[in-house]
Amino acid sequence: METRTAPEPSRSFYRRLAAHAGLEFVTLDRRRSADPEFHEINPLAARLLSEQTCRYHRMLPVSYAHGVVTIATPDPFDQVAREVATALTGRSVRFVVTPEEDIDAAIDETFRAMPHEDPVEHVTDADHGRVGDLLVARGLATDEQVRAALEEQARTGSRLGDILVHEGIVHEAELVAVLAEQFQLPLVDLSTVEPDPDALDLIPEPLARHLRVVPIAVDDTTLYLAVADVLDDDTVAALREHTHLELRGFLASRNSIDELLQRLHGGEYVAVARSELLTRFPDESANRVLSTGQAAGLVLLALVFVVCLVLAAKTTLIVTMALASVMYLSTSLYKFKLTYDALGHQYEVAVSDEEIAALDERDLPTYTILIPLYREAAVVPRLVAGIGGLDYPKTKLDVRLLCEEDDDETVPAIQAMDLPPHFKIVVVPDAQPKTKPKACNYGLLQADGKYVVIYDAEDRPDPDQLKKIVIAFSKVDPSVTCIQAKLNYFNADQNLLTRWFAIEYSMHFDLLLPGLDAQDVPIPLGGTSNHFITDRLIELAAWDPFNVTEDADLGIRLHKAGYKTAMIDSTTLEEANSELNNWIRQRSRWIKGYIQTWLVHMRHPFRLLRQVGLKSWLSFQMTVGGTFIFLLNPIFWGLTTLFFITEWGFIRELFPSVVFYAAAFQLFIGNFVFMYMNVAGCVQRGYYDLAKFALLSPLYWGLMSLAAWKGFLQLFYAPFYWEKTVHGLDEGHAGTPPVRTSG
Amino acid sequence: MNSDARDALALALETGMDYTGLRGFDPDPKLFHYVPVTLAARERVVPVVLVGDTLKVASARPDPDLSLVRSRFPYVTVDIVLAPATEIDRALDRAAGRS
Repeated sequence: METRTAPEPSRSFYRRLAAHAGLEFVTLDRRRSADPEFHEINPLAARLLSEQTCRYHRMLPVSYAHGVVTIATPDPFDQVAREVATALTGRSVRFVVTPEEDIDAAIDETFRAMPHEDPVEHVTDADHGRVGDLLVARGLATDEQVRAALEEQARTGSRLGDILVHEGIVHEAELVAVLAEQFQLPLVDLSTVEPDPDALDLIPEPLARHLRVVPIAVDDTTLYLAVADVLDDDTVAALREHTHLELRGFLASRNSIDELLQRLHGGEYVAVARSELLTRFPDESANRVLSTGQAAGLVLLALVFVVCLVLAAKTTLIVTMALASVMYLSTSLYKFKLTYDALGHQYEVAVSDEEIAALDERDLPTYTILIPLYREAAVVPRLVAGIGGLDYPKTKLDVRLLCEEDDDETVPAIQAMDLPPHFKIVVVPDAQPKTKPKACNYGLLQADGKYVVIYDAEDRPDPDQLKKIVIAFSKVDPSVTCIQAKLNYFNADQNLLTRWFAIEYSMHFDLLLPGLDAQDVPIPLGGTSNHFITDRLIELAAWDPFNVTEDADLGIRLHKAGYKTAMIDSTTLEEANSELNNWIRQRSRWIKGYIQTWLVHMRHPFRLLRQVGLKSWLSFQMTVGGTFIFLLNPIFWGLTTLFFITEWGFIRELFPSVVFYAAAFQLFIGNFVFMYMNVAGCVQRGYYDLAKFALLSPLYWGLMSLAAWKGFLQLFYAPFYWEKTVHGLDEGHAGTPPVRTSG
Repeated sequence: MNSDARDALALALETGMDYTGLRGFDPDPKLFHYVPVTLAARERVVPVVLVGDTLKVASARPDPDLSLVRSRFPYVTVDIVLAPATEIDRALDRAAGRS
């Protein structure tokens, strides 16, 4: 038997080949542009490989998106071609199938259309070398260094050039020069460029910021852009919405593009950082302490109180005492229930060591760390050590040190340190309000990370915290937008104040917040180590620059927007305030901020009730509104003391039986309960040595009331004033946290 | 019929597999995207025709190792037919000379 077959028409053959292999089939023939299989060639992506390479291996890069280069080829299993493409583009590649005649015609058309002066002059050995080879050939790196970087690349999926830069082997400028040579892109030094205003006008600033491009010049046919990478398909499509001019990229370093964007648009950035929330959600901003309705309501309430006092003083005071007692009692019982429930339960998202070990670092996203600094040069070395200790690929860290323009101490100190390239100094232009949230909003504008977290300068997060968060986000409900790590102190045993502080934080972060999490009610976030999905944070207009506890406020806004916060069992150790005046300044700000937050969200109490439901509404009243207790404490303590000393009958009359029992319950049982909660917090954390100091908690509450009145009064004359906490006061102290004893 | 062809035919009868002669057969070069030339030479096979989702491969042996083809093309059924070894070699030579 003899077998003869007529060759199958090419197009249908390759379509079938793709189907058999489970690959995509594309048509590159422009005459078939109406076909659903037609694939437009991104000429900028096509530059990722040279003409010779494309012809030799019969392949062509047709698009570039999300870090993956799509390459059309009739032979999708040509392993040599795949390796060459991966090495030369320095990126992940995906092969799609196209007919032979399409690839040949597309290569002809693509390279005929590309502007170049004289191909012969341009084509050198270096043009076709890998980035590593080029760097070795230029004497910028050794073979061993490139080999080690390749191993790192295989492990983390980061780009070879980035790894070498982060290792300090190659400077960013040197790498950009080599990349420009490899991709035959012209290079631009942005430090000397003054972009053409006509070019700038073509691309809106937010888009340029988002895409990391700067229009630098324009003529009748072409828009010239400074770019940090070969323009990918999404970028081209986004730019096409604003211009139909030809796009020509000039390669520049990412940092120089960021710096130029800040130089050009710093004023607009500050305006966004300051006003985004106020513009988009004016009712959510603490830019005014009281709304008109609240002011009118308070005046009315005060009038009614005075009139009642005049008409029936004793009854009025009895009712006031009764209401205060109810508030005390309900808040105490609620907090007791939350902490009691959290004892012995694991409400936090569980992430095991095995899960961390099994994590493929190539799948890790870029992570932005925002670190606001103000006159904190002394703690910068500690900060660098803390961040350096994080177990996360350095090439995937985007650490932004947010410094204020008028801080002539911190910026030079940082610059003198020659920090690794994942540390970027962001100088926030001087503008009011000069608050941490405004600086964070400014830093967020250029954040690269899929996730973003705030750390304070002196923070020491658990080394595996970022990896835990990445895993946790993959496990939790999709509506979870923030994961809060626990906070505690590394200098807890420095003095009595730091011990009290550590006891309070143990109770707050190890019991109270997990308890709130379990109840699915709003969680007032802690000041640092709250990890967000960046896009959602931006969608919510990020932090309120007018709120001095912007973190707590954001926790409430997240909940109002239908998003959730989860807790994780990972700790960031901070520096506990060890100096009394400094502590009172910090605490007065916190209490002022909580009152601000309560006032903001109670501008429309019924709307809030509709938005979050009764349970969350009540929880908000008791967790955030419960702050007012610290203002009432001295009054009750004073009355009690006065009564014991003088046995004044009038005081007895203010507490008729029911009110007396409630107040007495609070005095004897409530205080015991709060002390119990503090002890339980120490036990939960394993800080057994601190538990005995919890018995002295009432003295600590006295200090809190002092700070509460300071913060409350400040609300009247300096509502947005940021009481700066001085850090670095633990100098000379060993700085080790109390021993955690598993129990 | 030469001895080589007789042996192949006898093997086909014995194993119950189909038999094909390949005299003067020019393989469609595109089919070597399914069975790479190096693999074809090593396993002494030649891709004959693709019908629907079935790739007919002529082989000198009843059990060539075509696991690579099956792993790359999970949606293809590989159908082995026996053919004289010398005719497979000639077909491969012609394919190589043409490529």
